[in-house]
Amino acid sequence: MPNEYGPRTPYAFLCQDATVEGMRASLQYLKERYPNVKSVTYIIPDDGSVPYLQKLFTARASELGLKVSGVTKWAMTTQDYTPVITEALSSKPDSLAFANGWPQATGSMLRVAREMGFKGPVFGGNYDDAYQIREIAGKENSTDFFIHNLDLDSPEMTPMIKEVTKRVKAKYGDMNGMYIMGFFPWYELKQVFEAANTIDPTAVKTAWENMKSIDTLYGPGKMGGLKTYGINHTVCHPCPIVSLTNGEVKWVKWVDVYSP
Amino acid sequence: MTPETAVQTVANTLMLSAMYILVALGFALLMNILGILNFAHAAIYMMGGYICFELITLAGVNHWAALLIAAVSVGLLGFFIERFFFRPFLKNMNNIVIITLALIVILEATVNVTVGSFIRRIPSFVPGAFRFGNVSLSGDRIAAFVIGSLLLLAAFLFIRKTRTGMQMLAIAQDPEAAELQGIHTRRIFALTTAIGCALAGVSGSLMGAVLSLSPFMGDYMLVKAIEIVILAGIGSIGGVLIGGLILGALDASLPLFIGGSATDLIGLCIVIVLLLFRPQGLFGHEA
Amino acid sequence: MTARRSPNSKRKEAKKLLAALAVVVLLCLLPFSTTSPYYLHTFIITFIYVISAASLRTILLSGQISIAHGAFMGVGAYASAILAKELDWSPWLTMPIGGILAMAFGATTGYPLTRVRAIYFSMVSLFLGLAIVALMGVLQGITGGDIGMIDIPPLSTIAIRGLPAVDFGASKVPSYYFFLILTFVVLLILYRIEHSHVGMSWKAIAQSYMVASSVGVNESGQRLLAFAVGCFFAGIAGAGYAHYNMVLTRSSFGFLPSINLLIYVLVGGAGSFIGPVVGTAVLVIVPEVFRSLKAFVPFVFGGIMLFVVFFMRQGIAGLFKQLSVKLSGTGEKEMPSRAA
Repeated sequence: MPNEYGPRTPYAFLCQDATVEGMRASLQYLKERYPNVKSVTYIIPDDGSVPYLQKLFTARASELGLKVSGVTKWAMTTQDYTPVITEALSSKPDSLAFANGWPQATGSMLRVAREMGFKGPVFGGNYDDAYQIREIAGKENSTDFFIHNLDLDSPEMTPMIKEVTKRVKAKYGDMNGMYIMGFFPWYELKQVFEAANTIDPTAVKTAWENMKSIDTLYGPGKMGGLKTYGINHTVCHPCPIVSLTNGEVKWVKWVDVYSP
Repeated sequence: MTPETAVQTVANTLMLSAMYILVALGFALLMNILGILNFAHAAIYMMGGYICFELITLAGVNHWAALLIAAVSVGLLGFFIERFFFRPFLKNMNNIVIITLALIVILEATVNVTVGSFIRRIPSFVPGAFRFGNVSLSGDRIAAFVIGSLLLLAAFLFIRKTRTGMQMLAIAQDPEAAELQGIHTRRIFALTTAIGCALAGVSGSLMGAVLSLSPFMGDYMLVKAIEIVILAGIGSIGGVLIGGLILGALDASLPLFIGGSATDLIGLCIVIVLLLFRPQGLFGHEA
Repeated sequence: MTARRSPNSKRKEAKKLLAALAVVVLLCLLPFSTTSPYYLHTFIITFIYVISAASLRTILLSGQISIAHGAFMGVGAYASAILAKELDWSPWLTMPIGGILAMAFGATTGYPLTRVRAIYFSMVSLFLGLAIVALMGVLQGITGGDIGMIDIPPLSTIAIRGLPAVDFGASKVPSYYFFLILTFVVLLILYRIEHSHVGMSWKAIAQSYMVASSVGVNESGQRLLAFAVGCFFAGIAGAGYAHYNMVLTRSSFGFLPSINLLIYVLVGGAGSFIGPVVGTAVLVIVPEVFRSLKAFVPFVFGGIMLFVVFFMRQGIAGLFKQLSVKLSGTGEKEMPSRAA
């Protein structure tokens, strides 16, 4: 959000895939996996970020040749999502995109959409747990759905993730995506400090801006983000995509995303 | 708006109204008969849902049996609450408010620390969805609609036609006079609370399948229930039907015209304006 | 009935004032014994909510139980924050303006609300509070919606020639003293209002609005006045919170905070003036002490509520009264005040 990250905050760096990157990756994958999809409706909670996200979504969609057939806002206090989906489907889109929200919202909306007979692809917002979504939507409705999230058991996780998983399980006996996300910035900071050879903030900032590439837990990354955010402090790296197909949680792939 | 969307919206209105009325019934009972604003209704509604969930998933009990058991369990909890938390304080409404608030805080915290705040859902009572022409309705919502309507009718007939029901009406009018007539007020109080809680349990179980389960699921549903009861007017069970339809219509149609927080704002403003025109509620008695 | 004061009640009042000053002096010494920002922060938040709770009790005095008080705190908070941030006005100016705007808003919305009474009033006030919060969401362009509003300027530095500058951004100590003094002044004002002619009319309305009307009290006008006055101080508290916290989200002013304020007043004892003060202090500080219990803190909160209801019929302040009557050995010389 412009408040938190942009030209006004020169010392802020976006080191992980956030809402915008996840959305870019998801749209890219949507086009790749479902090439017949021509239009998408964006369903987003009305939490103050709507104009900002809507602009970025529309820009990205047109880049990929997709038409945004509608933007549906819903109130944060919504209990039953049927009217929201009714409104979203009234413009007859080929696919649906959910933004932000939480597993209960995403799952409920997926369920309602499928129960209303919508067969097209649906993708979720940021990092919601696919298992929770499956439970809330019901197995029979959990199909042709994908979301920007990790599947820690998949063999296609990067060596770094596997290593972190191994160590966390050994030390704490428990594992979930939070451990990965918590470690993410530290891994990058280490490389940045080494490149700058100091921990002086201004020197570090300059060094980070000028790094040609930086390794991340998800794979190799590079700096970007000048056009999207107004400042090139974004580390762009592959984004994980997980799908729900016929009621099963399946790892899909890493989608490499670059924010210009 | 296409005709198709319009018809679907009418269907959505009916379904949504039924859901809201289902949640509001138990609350309305306590409000009308005992004059108690039972904030704990939200927590009891939620607990009914969780009990049903655990019975179905852990013990493999049949859905409808689990619903019944959950309703009876929270009904018994209602007896307990009435005896120890309501009875000593019926003379002082401020204290009852504090008690119901304390109960909701404690009950929700209990579920939060024991079962955890991961969102779950009760497996469908009536799986799948059904299409009638261009309108689709999910099986669970149809079940909620049918059960909600039956319970509303049953509550209405019970209060008007049965002896116990009429005793409840008498107590609602004037508890002291009712006692002088030989009505066992204490027993009726206990029974009313138990029935109210059981109704909350039924609605929690059904809503847990239609929507989802979380320790705080009752909070905003409680606001809807309060809106319906106040709109209907204290003292009117039948008014709950109209109040529910109004609220259901607002919540089902406003998102189609204007999305986001504005739906909340407009819906609430309409309710407030209606109340300003009829300060005692649509069907309530003059204060 | 005029508020004539007998010599005995004057003495009682002097005693109360002395006790209050003693407490204030004690509180003034706190920053010398600890500079931990955490303790200071807890007390500052307590002060802010004391102002809110005390002004809620002012509304309660007229027999109206309002569940919109948190929302009016929000009105004052956002008004002051927006004026200070977007128009660059000094927060010293925007704080009272925030209070005035909250009062104006309260008067406008309170006017139609005088038509409804008792529980209908409370519930309509609940809906009003929710509508105000929804409005904050709709106006997300200026309020930031649920994402929140950041970069709100703190109270500007006081630089008087010859004295060291008082910088509110540097440490919490200046804010602590500011809110301590503000709370004391507000409580003084509310006390005077309550014991004035106007306050008497309010209490009369609370007891029986029909009888009060029959002796010439303008029932709806006075109720509106009580509501507006309460909203003014809620706005002040909210604005203070905005400039202290420097970040605002609308969830701080919704259903739950309004209910919390009501709980603070009722648990502290709605019948006495220091009720809301005591109630707020206990219900803010004690759960904070037990913060390490994390998810179990609500049990502490709920537990205190149940304990007070079961063992202290008049709230915590009522317990003080009973104790002071017992200790002084004499009965009350004035007419006992009726609980709300």
